[in-house]
Amino acid sequence: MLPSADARTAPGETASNTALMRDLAAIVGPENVSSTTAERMVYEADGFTMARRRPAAVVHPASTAEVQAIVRLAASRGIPFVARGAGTGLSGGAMAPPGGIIISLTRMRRILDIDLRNRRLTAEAGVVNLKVTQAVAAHGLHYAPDPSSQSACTLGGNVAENAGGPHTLKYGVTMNHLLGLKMVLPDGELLDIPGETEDNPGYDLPGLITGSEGTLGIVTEVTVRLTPLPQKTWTALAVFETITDATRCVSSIIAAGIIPAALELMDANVIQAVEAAFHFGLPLDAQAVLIIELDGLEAGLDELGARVRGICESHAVRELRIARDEAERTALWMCRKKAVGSLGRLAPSHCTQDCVIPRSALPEVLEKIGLIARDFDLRIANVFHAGDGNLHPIVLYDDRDEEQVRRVLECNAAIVRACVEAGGTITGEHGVGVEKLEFMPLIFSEADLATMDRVRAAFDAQGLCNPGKLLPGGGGCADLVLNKKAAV
Amino acid sequence: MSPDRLFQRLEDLLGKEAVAGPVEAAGLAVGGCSPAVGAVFPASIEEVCAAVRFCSENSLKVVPLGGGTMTERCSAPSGYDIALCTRRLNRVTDYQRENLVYAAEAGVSGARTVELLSPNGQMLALDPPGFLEATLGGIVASRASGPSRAGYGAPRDLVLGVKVVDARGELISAGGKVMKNAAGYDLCRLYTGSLGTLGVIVETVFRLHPAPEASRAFVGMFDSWEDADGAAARMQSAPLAPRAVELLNREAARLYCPDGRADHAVYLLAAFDGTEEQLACQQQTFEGILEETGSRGFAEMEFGWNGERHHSLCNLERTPRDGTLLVLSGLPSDIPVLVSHLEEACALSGCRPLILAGAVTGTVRAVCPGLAGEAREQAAKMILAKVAGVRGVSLRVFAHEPLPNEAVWTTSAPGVEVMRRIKDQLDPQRVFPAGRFPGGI
Repeated sequence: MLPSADARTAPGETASNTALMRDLAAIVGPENVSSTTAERMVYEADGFTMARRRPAAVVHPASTAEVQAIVRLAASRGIPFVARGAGTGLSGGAMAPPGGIIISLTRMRRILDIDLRNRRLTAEAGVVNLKVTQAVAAHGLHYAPDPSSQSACTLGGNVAENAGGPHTLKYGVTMNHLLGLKMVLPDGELLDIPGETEDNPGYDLPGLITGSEGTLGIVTEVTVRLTPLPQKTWTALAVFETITDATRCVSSIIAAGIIPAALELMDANVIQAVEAAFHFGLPLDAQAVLIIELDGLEAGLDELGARVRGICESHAVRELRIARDEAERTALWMCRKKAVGSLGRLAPSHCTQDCVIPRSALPEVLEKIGLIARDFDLRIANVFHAGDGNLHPIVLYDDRDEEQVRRVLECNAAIVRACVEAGGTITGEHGVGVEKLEFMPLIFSEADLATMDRVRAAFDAQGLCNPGKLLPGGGGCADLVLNKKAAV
Repeated sequence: MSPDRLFQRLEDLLGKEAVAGPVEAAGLAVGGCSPAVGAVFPASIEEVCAAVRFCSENSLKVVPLGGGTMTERCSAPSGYDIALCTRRLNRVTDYQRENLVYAAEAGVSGARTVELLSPNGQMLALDPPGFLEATLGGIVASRASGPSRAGYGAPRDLVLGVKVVDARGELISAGGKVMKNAAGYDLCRLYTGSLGTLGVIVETVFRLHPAPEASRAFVGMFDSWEDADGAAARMQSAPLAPRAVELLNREAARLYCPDGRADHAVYLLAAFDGTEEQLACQQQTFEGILEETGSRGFAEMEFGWNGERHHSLCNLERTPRDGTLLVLSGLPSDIPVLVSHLEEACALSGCRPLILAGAVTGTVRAVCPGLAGEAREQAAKMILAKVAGVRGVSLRVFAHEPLPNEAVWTTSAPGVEVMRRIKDQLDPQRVFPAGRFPGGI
């Protein structure tokens, strides 16, 4: 694993640490400071478990004012800090910086305002993504970004990572739905961008902040756009004999001018794992299935479905199961949603990659990923947002075997390079965090990275806000890389 | 170094055909001001880098310029030396038809884009005023949008990548050519709408949309803004997927209607894209809403993306040569109130503005012929007094004559201190001159 738990930073029971705990407790109350070893261990990693570092403390504020006070305290003492939502991030972005504290926002979970007329909702950063849709579904609305972790992940985390999900193919990612925000800057000042207008004068700060992985400040409140629920949905499961037929079918659907709401692909490894776990009736000998969802107005949707059927047939689809009602649709989606969880049946550990390639390059890149898996003698399962070209190759391994871990890391690097060579990028929705730092120079020049450094300096002159993430060369990443090498 | 000598050096650097002196460049005004030394017309990204580097080294101030369709939509710069025109950066660099991705240099026009994409059944779903003459770089830099923003989004939603020459003359790449990108800071969003204050946009990459089978607009007529707004609100909860929902006052409708007749106070125009079957269903639903909300009349028209009716609606909101364009933004539900403030303020000087309001975006534009000088100041002051304390409302005042910063960006930009720090970091020498952007940036 990358940094081992004891290579990290735990200041121990020093006098200054005791003073820090006391001052944090004075802000949020002693019950909202986690300082024991056992409590802090829980926060060593986010969803990217290959890197771990134990925080000096975890503090749980309940308001923007408390976050400001904590940040001011940290800034005055030169203590680095990072915000954390539900900890579902997959690139280590919410791991504590060396000697740093974690500011957990899960107590900030109030929905503050629902404006149905103007289709806006304002909520604290710790509100769980799915709660937003649940709060407005009865009014025919929903919050469109729907990452796989939507029943756990928070809005603040979604902003930090510019979270996507299966339906972003048609509806866009978090950035497209964020209208306003409150963010505590790294000096404790409050940045307040109203979500009342779509035309705030000046630079597009919400656009810049979305996806900044908590390195520019701590978002404590967001105003998001609500989207009407579709009048009708057409969902189908298409079964293919080969993965190439499936990926060519994806390209043909897009090239035909059809933008489905979702277009998800699962390969044979995933089909077998899902079927073994849940018995959905998926064909075990199929090499790929596509979940194709069209939505929108009722008028014309069946005709569009017929066009999609024709395209599938032209790519040798073996079987096309069209959901006849909501229950069948839910069952089809359940296959997809249970996919990653079911992989535990195939191996004790798995590591999810996240790269984006041009859609037309899907057949060639997936073939290459198959060869990479063979070269490294590892099993890779593919379940991903095919319509966006957003790949999620999942490398299956045993994390107790250090030699396997080394191969996994090298295999991941080879996959990233293959995607970049195909005209793609190193991450589509999981972010850089600590996982992808070393790959940034593959797609950005020194001048590009220097510009990003300057942008960061405009927000965080002291370099205390989640250092060592997103940009290579920042404080803290060097020791991480060393730890990673030492660990393997 | 004298201006003549500097000009000579630029000519040596870029070639005779790529430079114009101050007299020839006088027509290239930005924010009402012309360049002191001249204009350059680089033909490649490398030449843009060389030109900006030269200007940076010689303390010359540079203002980028595209098709010139939005140059009044900023305040007067604090003097500048060189207009850097992108019109010779005119190559389409990568059109991936099968991936719905379109990359082109900044000087490629809207018209050229339409010409290329239309035969392939695809489109760039942007329709700012003057789209056909506008350059792609200019559209991104000014984040210009039009009525179809309601259905397809603004430039921030459609830009996948940009290349920018920064204040040091270095080429910066942001984003890419793929649908999603979470690598590093999203500098595309920062550059989109930055009005050339952080760099010269030299290449843009867009996500495209399939062209619709058919497009049509339906119009309902109302006696008051409240009634029209009631219908627009009803549309929100109806099974409709409009591409544009615009409210027009009588003056705007008179100019827009082919026969010049407009007898009603407010016109609600809802445009739709789709199949004939989808359009027919939406027409039926829309007519039902009109009936329930007291509409006085109904009309329908063809509204194809490349059609005359569409372009003429988009072009209605151009800033008049002798007047002012007032842009007041707020919540969609505030439109009737915002319009009443605009009408009241304009009435003081006897001006009868053309008013267009985006019922989904909440942006109200008042085209005010003849509103100038003190009358313009008074009108702005009055509107500001009315909206004082209303969270999120902003007023922008545009004219072709030079206007001071606070006269254009009348409401302070939220986060302006952070914006200044970004400008300080990315352009510490103010190669791209101060004064044009909110907060004096």
